[in-house]
Amino acid sequence: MNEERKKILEMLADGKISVEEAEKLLSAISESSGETAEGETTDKARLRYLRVIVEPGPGSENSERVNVRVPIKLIRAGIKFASLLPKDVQGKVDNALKESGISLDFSQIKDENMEEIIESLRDLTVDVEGKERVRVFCE
Amino acid sequence: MRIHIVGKKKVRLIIPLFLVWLLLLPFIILLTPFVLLAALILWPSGYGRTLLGTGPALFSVICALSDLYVQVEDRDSKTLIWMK
Repeated sequence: MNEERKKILEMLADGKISVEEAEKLLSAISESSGETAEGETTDKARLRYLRVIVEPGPGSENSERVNVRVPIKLIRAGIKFASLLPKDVQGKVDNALKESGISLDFSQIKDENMEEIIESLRDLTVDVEGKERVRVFCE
Repeated sequence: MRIHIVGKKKVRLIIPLFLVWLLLLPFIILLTPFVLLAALILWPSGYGRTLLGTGPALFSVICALSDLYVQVEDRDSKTLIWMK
């Protein structure tokens, strides 16, 4: 039980407020906590971009900077596009990726898995520091 | 949607994509019956679905390009591609 709720119940027990007033206050608290939950949901839904930033590291002579912002909706459209590939083509893509050292089952990229893939990007953070500093993250 | 390319010589190129669509429209209209026919022929091999779905999927990829921002810069030059 949170502090505000406790105070209201104490005020009701002390007779400082009526039952109706307590009810109104309690419902106001529930509404505001509901708004917070909704706000969190909106925050969660706000994943809009995949960012790739390359900056020169400390002491690096290279002054090249790269700043890429890929909209998540583009990734979504790309996944949809990839799911259209026929199975034999998907197999060829799988083999080519395996040869490059990337183990990815292309047949698993389907419309139904799209949200799962996008959602897993939320936790993606790559931070590499060397001659260049490379950061990959979602925002 | 516009593409901004700011290059080495500070040339700013703005391409309104609706003009590209207008130019492509006659070709799309002309090609549609042939694509449908090819999709019908290829349906048993599994490529028909791909052929039919490619157009709309490509369209959605192009539409989703808006807000794509690529900036590469060094001491002398700056290249910016911004799909606005």
